[in-house]
Amino acid sequence: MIKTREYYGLLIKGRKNLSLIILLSKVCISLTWVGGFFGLIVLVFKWVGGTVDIAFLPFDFLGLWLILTIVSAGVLGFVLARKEGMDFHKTAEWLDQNLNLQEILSSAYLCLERNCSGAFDERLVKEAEACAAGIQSHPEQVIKWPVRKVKQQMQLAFLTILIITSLLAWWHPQKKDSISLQNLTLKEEIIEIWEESTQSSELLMNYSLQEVTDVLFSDDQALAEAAEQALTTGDAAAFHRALEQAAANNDLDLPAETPSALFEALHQTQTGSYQGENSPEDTGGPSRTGLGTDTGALQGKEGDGQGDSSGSRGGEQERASKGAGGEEGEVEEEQRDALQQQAPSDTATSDGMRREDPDVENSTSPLHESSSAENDGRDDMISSSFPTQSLPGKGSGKEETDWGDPDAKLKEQALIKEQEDGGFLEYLLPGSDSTVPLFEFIPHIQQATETALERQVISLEYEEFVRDYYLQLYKEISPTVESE
Amino acid sequence: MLKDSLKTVEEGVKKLKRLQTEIHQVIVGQDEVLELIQIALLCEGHVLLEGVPGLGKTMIVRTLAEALSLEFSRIQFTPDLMPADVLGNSILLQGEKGNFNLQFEKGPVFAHLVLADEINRASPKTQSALLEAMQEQAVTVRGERHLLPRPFQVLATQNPLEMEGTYPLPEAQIDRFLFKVLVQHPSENELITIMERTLGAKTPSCRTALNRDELQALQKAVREVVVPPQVYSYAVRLVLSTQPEQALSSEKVRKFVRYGAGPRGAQALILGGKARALTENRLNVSLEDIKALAVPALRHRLALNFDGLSEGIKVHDLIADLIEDLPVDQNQPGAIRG
Repeated sequence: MIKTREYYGLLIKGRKNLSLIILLSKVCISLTWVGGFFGLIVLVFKWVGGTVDIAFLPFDFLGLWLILTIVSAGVLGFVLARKEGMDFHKTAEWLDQNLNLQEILSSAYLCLERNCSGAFDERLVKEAEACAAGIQSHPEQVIKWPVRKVKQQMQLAFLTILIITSLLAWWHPQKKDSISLQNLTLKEEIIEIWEESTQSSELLMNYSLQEVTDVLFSDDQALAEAAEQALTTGDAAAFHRALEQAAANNDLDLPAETPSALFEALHQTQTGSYQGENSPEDTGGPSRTGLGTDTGALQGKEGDGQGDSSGSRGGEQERASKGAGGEEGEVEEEQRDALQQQAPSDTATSDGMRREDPDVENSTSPLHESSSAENDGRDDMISSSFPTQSLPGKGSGKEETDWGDPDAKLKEQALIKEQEDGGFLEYLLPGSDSTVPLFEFIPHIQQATETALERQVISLEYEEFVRDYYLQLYKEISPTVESE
Repeated sequence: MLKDSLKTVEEGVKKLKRLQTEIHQVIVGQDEVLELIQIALLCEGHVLLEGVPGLGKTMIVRTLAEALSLEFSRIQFTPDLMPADVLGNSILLQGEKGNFNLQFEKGPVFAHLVLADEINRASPKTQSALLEAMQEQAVTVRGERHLLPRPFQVLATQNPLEMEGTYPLPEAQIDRFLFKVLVQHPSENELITIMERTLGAKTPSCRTALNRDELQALQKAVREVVVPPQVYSYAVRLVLSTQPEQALSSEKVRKFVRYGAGPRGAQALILGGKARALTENRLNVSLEDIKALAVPALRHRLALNFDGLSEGIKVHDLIADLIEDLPVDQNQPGAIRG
């Protein structure tokens, strides 16, 4: 009986290792080709999905590509490797050639196959057995991982994966303007407003009321209509209910101050009494649609000299120039007195701007005592979701003694609050005009604007526009100050 | 019986090494020539020696015969040499009773080792007679078949210089030689040694290293050497690559070769590989054996076309390129191929 244990042991081990090398090679080749092919398809999808607002896939492009590539490459590699299987004869042949054994192993395999019927077969098998025993004692010399060709294939596969991953991770095709994208931005902004309550409501200036309500109440048309109706009629309670329902539907946490802030911002915007950024006609900046278009109407009013206090810097400049008259110093003094006297506990809530019943005449604020005086007062009104630093305008002339209930219906009242940093926060009503000199609050407003720029609440493309605006403003108010 | 056979083979292989030593007592250098002649002897094949005069071709054959205790004969081929001069002839002899009988007188071809000197000088008819004897291992004269002695080997020589008035062996005939061996000039040191040995007082001689029976046993053992499948495959692919009409052939072969080696070429490679393996005390043929014998086994089986001759293409360079370019692991999966 010829011993062949070492011989077959070597062949078995060799076949296993060589099969693994072949499998690795096929997987690498598959990874390269499949990865490149699927990568190209996914990149096309990403480009199309980026330029057109259509949600093609339910999950991330990179994840999709990885899943497709790994699964396909694995399956394909396994199938191809099985097709090119290694048997004992091929293993013996490979070992003979790579270890320079002068074909002794494959010759012995031939002898064993024919049951050692040749004259020299037994002797040959014994020699092969001895040779295999010698090799087995140094198995690390048998097969060096990976063989040269497989190393190159691994490098190529790695390169393909690196390129495709880089493209998928960092390439972002240009997005076109679309309503859905605007809605997405708006929704993100609204969610941020909801959650942090720190953003200015001027953000909503870019969008129409319908767009805002569509985003807020996208899941429920009935809620959207109810909210729109509430905003039109000024029914804050109805709006709050709709908003709370929408938040519940979307599983969003709704901060307590948010409904009021949103209501006030949207309602004021709708009615055109909201004072926000400059209109495009005045400052030459980029035009705004939606809520901002209301400023056009307001501008018209200001142009008539009616002192509409919302939105228009031109109107404000006019008012400032008007206020540069003799009454300026007197009004200023009264304003300061009012600020000092205003009780801090007056209607302090965390809501946004307050609205007061225009019929209330028992306001202690001296600013409200005269018909032309602007409203002023301290307020513990917490900076709302829409903190605004607006140029103070003249009040509606109606007196008020307190800030009123934040849930009260909107009345034509002017509300003024001195900020901690010395600035003034005034909510101006239609027909009212500010009596606070420009030079007193413009720096605060400028600072607030710069902060908004830094935080990119206002887009950086407006930086130059804002700077030019303030420069022009300072030029215009300089003669006014001198005259005072 | 197998063990005896193995033992005989082992002893015979040892004696082969001693044979080399004994021959080198007389012949200086020419190691490759001696090795190829020895391999051809073990294969019972014939060798075509090509070299200029005076390189010791006759001496090599004579010394080999002496070291093997074999009968040696030398036939100097001339243009007027007749077939009967080579094969033998029937002559009329008078018997004791006065009757005349025809008796076959053996020619010089009836020897173990026959040196056919300058075979290309004899007429085609004479060449054919010898070549037929080489092929058949027998001579037929007047319908009577006479077997040649065993072992029988013809070592023919060709002079590459004097081609005028010669009859180059036809390609079909030259194919019968197992190897074509080029005898080169000795080196400086070898030449000095030759001078010392041949011009001294003592004439160099050698002793018998291997007898006829042992040689025949070795010749029989050669046939038992194992050839693995990949060696067969490689030898066949090598031969096919010399044929310009085959897909395996290279661009150079297609351009410069008129026709390539045939089945005898593959037989020469395998048989020669077996003998070579045995001389190295191996019981299986390796790819290295095939590669080592490719040039002597195939060089006389390729014919260059006019382009090849005019370009000065060397056949042995062509074969060397084929050996280098032909993959040995064609059957292996791509991932683990070299």
